[in-house]
Formats: sequence, C-alpha cells, structure tokens
Amino acid sequence: MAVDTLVPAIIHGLIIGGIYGGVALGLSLIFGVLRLTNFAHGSVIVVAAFAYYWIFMLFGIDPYIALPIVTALMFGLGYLLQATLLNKLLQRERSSVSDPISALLLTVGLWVTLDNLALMVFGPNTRTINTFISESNITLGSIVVQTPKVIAFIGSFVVAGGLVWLLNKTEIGRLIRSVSQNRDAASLCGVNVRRVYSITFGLGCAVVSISAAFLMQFYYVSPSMGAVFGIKSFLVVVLGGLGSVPGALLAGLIFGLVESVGGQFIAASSASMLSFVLFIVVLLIRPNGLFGRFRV
Amino acid sequence: MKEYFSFRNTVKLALFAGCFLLLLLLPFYVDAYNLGIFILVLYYAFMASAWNIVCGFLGELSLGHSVFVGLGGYTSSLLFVNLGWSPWLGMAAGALVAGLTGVIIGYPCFRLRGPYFTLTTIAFAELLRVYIENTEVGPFGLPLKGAMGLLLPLRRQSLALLEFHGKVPYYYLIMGFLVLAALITYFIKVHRLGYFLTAIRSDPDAAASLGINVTKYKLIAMVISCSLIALGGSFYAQYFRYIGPERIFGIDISVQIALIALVGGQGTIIGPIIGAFLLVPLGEFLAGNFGGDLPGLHLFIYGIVMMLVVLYLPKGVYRFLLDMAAKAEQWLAGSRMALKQN
Repeated sequence: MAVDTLVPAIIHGLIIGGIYGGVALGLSLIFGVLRLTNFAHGSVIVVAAFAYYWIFMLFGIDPYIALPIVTALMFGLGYLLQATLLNKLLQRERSSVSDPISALLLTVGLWVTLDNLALMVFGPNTRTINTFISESNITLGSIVVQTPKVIAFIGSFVVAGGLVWLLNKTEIGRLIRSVSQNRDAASLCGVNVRRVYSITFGLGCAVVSISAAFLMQFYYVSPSMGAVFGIKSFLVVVLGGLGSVPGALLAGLIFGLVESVGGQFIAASSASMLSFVLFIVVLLIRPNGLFGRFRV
Repeated sequence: MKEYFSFRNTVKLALFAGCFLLLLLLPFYVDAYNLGIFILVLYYAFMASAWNIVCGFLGELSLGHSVFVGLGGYTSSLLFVNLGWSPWLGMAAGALVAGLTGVIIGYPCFRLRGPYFTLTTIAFAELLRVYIENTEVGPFGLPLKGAMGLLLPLRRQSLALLEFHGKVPYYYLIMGFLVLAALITYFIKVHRLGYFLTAIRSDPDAAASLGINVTKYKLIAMVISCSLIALGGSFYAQYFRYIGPERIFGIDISVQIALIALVGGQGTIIGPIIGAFLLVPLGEFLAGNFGGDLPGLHLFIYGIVMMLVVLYLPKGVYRFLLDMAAKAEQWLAGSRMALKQN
C-alpha cells in the first residue's frame, strides 16, 4: 500500500471518526445518567436536520448561525419528552434501576414514530444545502478535505470539551454526576432527580442537534439519515464504554479509521461492514467497552 | 371458587375454539385480496410468537430478528434455485443455520446485561444486509445477486416444491406454522424450561444460585426462537417468490415483529397473535389506501400505538383484556349474589 493513498485515508478516517464521536456524545450522556438506551437518538438528528434545512430554505439562514436557536428548541423538546413521558415510566420501574425496559420501549416507539413522520412529511428524497462554506475545500499539501468536515471535526472536540466542563465545573454538572453515581442517595440529599433527568435528556438532544448542524453541511438530509447515524452511534457508545465522553470520541476515531483505511482494501460500500465486525469482536474481548466504567 | 375457574376456562375454550373454526373456514367466505391480508396477519402472528420466546420469556429485547428471517429465506431459496432442493428440506437447513447463528450471537451477549443484546442483534442484521447488498457472488460461488435479490421461478404446482397457484394452500401452511409456534410456546410454558426462563427473567443471579445454568437455557430459548423465525423467512420467500436484502434484512421488519408482540402482550401465548390481528390489518389498510401519498404512515401509527401501549397498558392488550374479563366476572358474581340474597 502506497503512502500517498494511505495518508489521506488516515486523515479522512480521523475526521469522519471525530464526527461519529461527536454524534454519539448525547447518547452516551443519556445512558451514563439515566441508564437508558435512547433508541430515538437517530430521530433527534433527523428532526434537527430538517429544522436546519427549512430555516435555511425559508429564511436563508445558514445552519451554523441557526445553531443556537435549533439547539435551544431541541433542548426544550428533550426536556419536555423526559418530563412528560419518560419520567413517569422510570418512576414506575424504580426498583429495577439497571434496565428500565419500558422506558427503552417508549424510545423505540418514538424512534419509529418520528422517523416515519419525517418520511410522510418530507418524502424519501435526499436534500442537500449549498452554501459558500459547504462547497469550499481545505488543502493540506496534497490532501484535499471539505471545509465543513474539518469544522465538524473540530466542533466535535469543542462540544465534548464543553460537555466535560459542564459536568465537572458547574452546579448542574455536579447534580448530574451525583444522580449518575447513585440516584437514591442523590435524592436523599435533596436533589430533584426527575428534574435532573429532564435536563440531562434535554442536554443529550441539544448536543446531538449541534452535530446535526455540522453534519448537514456535507451529508444529505433525509429521513433515513437517522438510522444511519443512530446505529453508528450505538456502536460507538458501546465500543467506548456506555456513559464515557472521552471513550465515545476515541471509539468514533477508531471506527472512522477502520472504515476509511479498510475502504482502501475492499470496496467502499462494504467498508461499513468492518465497523460492525469490529463492534462484535470488541464486545467479545472487552464486554465493558474500551473505557467502560459501569457495572454490567 | 372452583366453579368460577371452570366457568372461566369454559368461556376461554369456547372463544378459542370459535376463533379457530372461523379461521379454519376463512378461505371459503373471503376473496383473494382479503385472504392475502389474513396470510400476512398469520405470518406476523407467527413471527411475533417466535420472537416472543426469546424476548417475552427471557426479557431480552431483540431488534435484529430480521437476521434469522433472512438466513431462513436465503438458505431455502438458494438451495431451491441452484440445487433444486425441495423448500421443505431448505427450510430445515435454514432453521439449522439460523439456530447456529443464534448461538453465535447469543453466547457473547447473554453474559452481559443491559442493552448489549439489543445492539448486537441490530449490528448483526445491518452487517448481513450490507454484505448481501454488496455481494453478487458469495463464498463457495453462492449467487447472492446483491441488492437485486433472488427471484424464485415458478416450476409447477406441487406440495413438495411448496408452489401453488392460489393463496389458499399458503394460508393453511402459515396457519399450521402458527399452531406449531403456539404449541411450542405452550410446552415451554408448562415444561420445566418455562419455569427456568421465568426465574432467569425475574432475577438471573437468584436463578444461577439455585443451580440453573442461565446461559444454557437462554441459548436453548434463542435456538428455538431463531429456528422458527427462519421457517417464517422460507415461507415468505416461497409465498412472494422473491427475497431481497432491504425487504428481508432491513430494520423495519425486526421492529415490526417486536412491536406486534409487545402491543399484544409479551410472555403470553395469545398476546402476539392478538397484536398481529390488531396491527397488521390496520397497517395493510393504511398502506393500501394512503401508502402512495404517505409512505411510512402505517409504521407511524404502529409507533404511536406502541407508545400508548407502553404508557397505558404496560402489560399489553391481552393482559388488559384478561383483567377486564376478571372484572366483568366479579361484577357478574356480585349481581348473582345480590339476586340470591333477594
């Protein structure tokens, strides 16, 4: 394998991998605190992406600029979902903390509902937006990378850093960590657990809607993008260890590298199989993921 | 008290026998289009019943059972198209392949708790879908035909080749499958295996401490479920004379099977069947009338029904009906007592 094809493959892989990691952050956060696998994660991407798309089509506002508005809206949506529906179910299953199956099933229902709602309203066609930034490239020596991909890559790390800062340095972060460690003990200390859950779920949705703004600058918007990135996020989060922020980023990088470098040896369309194989192999060897910190 | 139990059982048995008879005679008073819908209803009832063996009894949520639908369908079709094997033999082969794959997927996952099993089943299904979509000629020269899928040629009408001109034989075939699945579920329930599975579901640690080999019994349930699902996959291929990766390995079909069983009532024999009779005709009606303008409408409704059931009938429709029946019975008993007193 010649170096002049391998180096670009590695760089592209790292960039795509960073983006995978960024998309998975929200899922990881929600799992870490609520112990809930949010199957509607991909649907949140679809909803956010269509929000950006229509804001762009109707008002001509670039997703980068619309980001704060949509993120705030998605936070509200996530907060409401948790406050009105999911908390009720988590309350019901208080005794079995580790595996809130009915809440998980509700997110499955939400996933099917939202994805198909998007399919009904917007149709199966793919749409793209073209802006000055989305059509520009950055050249590094002989390697050409689309600018929005570089922005998304850097954005993933900024968002991850912001999340770590929020969790470790702020009051709400302290509350979230306390609930994540032991929700009953936190509740005894006067923490409003249900409110912290709602904030966490809202935060998870907000984080993924930031990623959606980065994604849609170079990826097409369609109802099926939820399944593509949702399933990938599951793989990333499990590989990185459920609930670990740095783990999610690193696992994303590994997936990106494996797909991109593997794509040099086999057909690119088959390369996404490699990530599934990797996922299954890692689960066999390290059941807790690479950075797993939770008992399973 | 004893009298009431026998009364309840008599009512149950009469209802059950009545429904069964109605279904048995259905082809005589229903036209071909509606019979097609009923075939799908029974097909999904069968699939949901098979899914229920792992997920209802073990409490492990699989959202990748399409793996086994696909393995069953592809195995029997490949053997039929290329080697001329009877689909009956192909079905047995498919069930074997699916059972083995079930062990391969289940063994690593069943040691873990939480969402790992669910996610691994999804990963396997996606892996196989992507593989088949991109592979024209598989290992050993298997002509998988990639995304195009396999067309099953119509040779001649014959029971041995499982090819018929009308829909009626397919109807009775899938009905037989459903009866088989229901009987197997019933035997699991009354057999020791059922008690083991229930114990494992409620508390795996306690079950292990009583000497139950948790992984072994989980794998047994998995093999039964996967093999049955594979039979369904072969049936699907024979009935539609076509299988393709997107249609048979896609995540939609896994989710549909799971939703039907969960809405009807997991962990029961009748629940998945009730779920299919509620959701599939609704889905077919919606897809038939609005499918052109609103793709995805029936799955959208499935999702809403699913959320409502999780929120308001967490044990499923069947258990809700049982509770209602018990209440009605109490009310009847109460009024009978009042009559006696007067």
